[in-house]
Amino acid sequence: MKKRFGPILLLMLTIFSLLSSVSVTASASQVSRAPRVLLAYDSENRANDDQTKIDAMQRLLTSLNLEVHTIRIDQYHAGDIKRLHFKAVITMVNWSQAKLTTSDFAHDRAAFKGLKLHIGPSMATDERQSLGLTLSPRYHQQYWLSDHTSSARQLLSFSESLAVTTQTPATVKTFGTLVPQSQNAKKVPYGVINGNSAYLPYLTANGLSFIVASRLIARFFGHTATYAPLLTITDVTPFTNMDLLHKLATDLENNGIPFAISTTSISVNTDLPAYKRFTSELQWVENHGGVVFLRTPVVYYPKASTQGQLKQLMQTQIWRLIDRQVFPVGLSAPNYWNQDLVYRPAALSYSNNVILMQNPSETKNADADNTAGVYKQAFYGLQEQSLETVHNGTNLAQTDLSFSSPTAVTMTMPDSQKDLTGLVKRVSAAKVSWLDPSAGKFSGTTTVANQRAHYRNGNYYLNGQLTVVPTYNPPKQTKPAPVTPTGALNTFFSVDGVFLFFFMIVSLIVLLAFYIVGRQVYWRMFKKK
Amino acid sequence: MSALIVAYLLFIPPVNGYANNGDFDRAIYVNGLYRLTGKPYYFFTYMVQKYGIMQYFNESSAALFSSQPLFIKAAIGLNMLVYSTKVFDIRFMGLIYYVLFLGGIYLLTEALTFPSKRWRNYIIALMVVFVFADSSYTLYFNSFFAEPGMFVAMLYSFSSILLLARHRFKRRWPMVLLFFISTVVLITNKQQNAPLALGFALTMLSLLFVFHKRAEKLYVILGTVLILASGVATYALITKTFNNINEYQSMTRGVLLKAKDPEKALMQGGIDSQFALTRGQTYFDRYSPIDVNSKYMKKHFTDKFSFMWILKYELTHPSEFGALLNLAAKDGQLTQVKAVSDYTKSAGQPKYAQTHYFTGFSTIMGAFFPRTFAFYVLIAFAFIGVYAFGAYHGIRDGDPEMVVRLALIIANMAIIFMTFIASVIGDGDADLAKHLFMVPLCTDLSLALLVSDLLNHRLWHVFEIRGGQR
Repeated sequence: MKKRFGPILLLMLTIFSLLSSVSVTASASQVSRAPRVLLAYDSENRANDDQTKIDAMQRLLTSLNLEVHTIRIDQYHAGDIKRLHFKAVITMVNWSQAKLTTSDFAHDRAAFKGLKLHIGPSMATDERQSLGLTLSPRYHQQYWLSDHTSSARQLLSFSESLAVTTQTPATVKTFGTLVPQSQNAKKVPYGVINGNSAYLPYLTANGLSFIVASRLIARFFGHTATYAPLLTITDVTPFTNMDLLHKLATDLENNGIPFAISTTSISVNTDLPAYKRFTSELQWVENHGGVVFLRTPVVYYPKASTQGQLKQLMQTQIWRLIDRQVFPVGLSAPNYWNQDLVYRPAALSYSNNVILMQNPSETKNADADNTAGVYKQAFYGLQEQSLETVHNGTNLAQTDLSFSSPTAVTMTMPDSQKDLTGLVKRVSAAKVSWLDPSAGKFSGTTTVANQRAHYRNGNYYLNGQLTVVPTYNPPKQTKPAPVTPTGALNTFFSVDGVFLFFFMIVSLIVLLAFYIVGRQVYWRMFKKK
Repeated sequence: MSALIVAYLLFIPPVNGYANNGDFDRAIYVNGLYRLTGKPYYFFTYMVQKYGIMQYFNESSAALFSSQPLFIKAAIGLNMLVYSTKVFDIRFMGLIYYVLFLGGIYLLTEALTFPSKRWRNYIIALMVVFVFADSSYTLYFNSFFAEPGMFVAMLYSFSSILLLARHRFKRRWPMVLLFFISTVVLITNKQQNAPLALGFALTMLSLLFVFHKRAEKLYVILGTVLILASGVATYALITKTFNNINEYQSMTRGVLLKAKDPEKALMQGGIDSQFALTRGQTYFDRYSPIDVNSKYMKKHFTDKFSFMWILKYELTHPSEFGALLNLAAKDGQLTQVKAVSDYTKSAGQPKYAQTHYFTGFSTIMGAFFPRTFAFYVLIAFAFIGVYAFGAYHGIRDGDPEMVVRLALIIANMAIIFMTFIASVIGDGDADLAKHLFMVPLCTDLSLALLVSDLLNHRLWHVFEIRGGQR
């Protein structure tokens, strides 16, 4: 019997392990075999904040389901373009004066037959030949960027020199129009696509320029769809004013505005009522037209060897949230987390939905590999403020914008009732059709250990079972006691004086007593004499 | 004997010292040193012997006002003079403290034994070596911690006042100057030492019993005021960042950690109860749900409390304060820093390896000294009671030594309690063993004084040389 059961047991175990691995692969967020794109830049040119352009490009390409490999041109290894089978090569020049190019890269790019996009000045000869258009330099001009699709226009900053395409045959696709302020000068297209080549004379990470540039890039890679933006409230933490969060969700729902919140969480102290209150408010969000994205933590001191610690932290956070029936539909993180060998698997691998936020001024990579992860759905986090260009043209926030890639328009969690009112007013006034997560194709799956939370059509499923998020039941909270203003010195004397000096005063009194007695004894000695 | 024991530990390979727990960075960069590039650098796991000496403009500014750079600059100067102008060997740091330590040990032995010339003094001398040459103290010499400066300064401060009281030298002003300088160096060595100025001021004031001329008394009073001023200056010159770190941890690892109801504790102090979720966090948590330095945290949390807020809270919650003090008392006699290694990587020892060489006294004290705060209160009463009786006799018989000794003991006890309180108020339970450094040191000095006085039969009377001469 034993002999017969042994192989059967082994077979069952094998099947079980295979099934497990299949389910793990299915739940894993990263999309394999996505087309590869090489983003080669000459310099970050931080003096000009041009690292934000690299960051924007990485996020945009990831949101288009492309696997982005970023490299500084002088660090390029000969033959990589061919060896890694890139679908496209993007050359970004941020500091043309430095002329930081290598012959290896230029040589490989010239031989490359795939898609080529050049962003910025100093287009190389091989790129010009591929583009097949004449570029003419324009000096000392200030332009309006006009977009026919959205009927919006934006005044650009003064440009000393810009190479533009003056003659565009009918076969060339153009994006946006640069309208010079001087009446003698001719209108020219902003971005152009000619066959396998494309050109953008400049890129900014926000405003109308970015909207138009992102449309060009999306079309260049064959994406023709348009996307409604997802309103995302950022900077929510377990320490956020919960009354405000409650009111915000209520007000947005009352105004018919679907939204998402991006919140950090905790893995310890989950026994405290404060955590229960936090998760109750997240449940309230889930029940009032909102969805929850779990934001990765703030890194204080990055270290590659702490991958296990981060993994444990993220898993515990997700597990605890699910335990409290808060089902994150995705994860959110600054973009550099997606370019890191430590952070990507330890923190971003639990969901098929990711919002990639703009990098902070200081990035803290544990082990940067500059190969971005690809997700089933990655949103480009675009700050709502960056659309507020009313002083320089059309107020984009009040324009019915459509985006060429999944975009999350982000607004910071208000910090006061006044801020909250302002936020709701701004959002209500916007002519944007916001993405409604409870309708359409939006879905989100977050998996950790044996828990699989899935969201679709406004319903939450836990391990395949429809689950109803409980109605609001937070622990009782009393308001913080008002602090009576007292002077610093009052506090000092009332508290410090009583305790800290008590010991010393007693000691001084004892010493004084001895001193007096001592003097008396001393004088008595003289008297005797 | 001390010279041999300590020299073997510090200078003979394998070189021993303490590894960096992160605190070194505060000391090295501002003094023109840096971690050598291209060579592995270890935190906690191994001590690092060699550092680079900056050959370019040093733009680092001090995180806190301290007398520690005096020692480091001297070590760098010596290193550059005899070894290298580019590479700093930490043994030169050890050498500076070592030389100062030997002087301190000599003065201490002299202070505890003078003027008796008995065979018992050999026992006292051996005791001094056993207690103060313990490796848990001397390992600090090969490090960039501030504690070794405090250690040697305290040896000088304690010995000089005792030598003054016992009229060891005919010229008294060098000892007064030594006491004053070593005390000021000690107080200004570290932020936590600021309140200790009160204890030392009391000791200085007791010199009024020694000096009788008006001008001398004026100098004593002036010295007392200056010592107090150095404490105030040390406190006032704490940088904002350093203060923020300590305040934050006092709250998260002090008040919130021990509070029965952390949310209520916050709400009563006018702070949003959600911040109870910071319970147990440190300022340096690798991964945090919020940036501790963010505007939001400042506005709604860290700007809403101060050390006074914490002190007030602790005083109104004696049971929680008591629990924190008891927690601190557990670490009261742990002088050897267990969290970091005592060896370099080249020594071939495993990570975090600790030396057991000449650690007998610290091991005994760590194992057998009662670990409750109440015991410290008890021992303080016992010490003060014993020496107060002596002081009474001293006053009656016109012997100022006895009064000065009482002041010294009171100051030592006060320092112990102030260190406990300043540690738990100032940083919660974070880094307790290091913050409590003055507790075992003052305990050891007081015990050494007690034992030496007992052996020389002068606990309640001034030592009498044969023939009744005092």
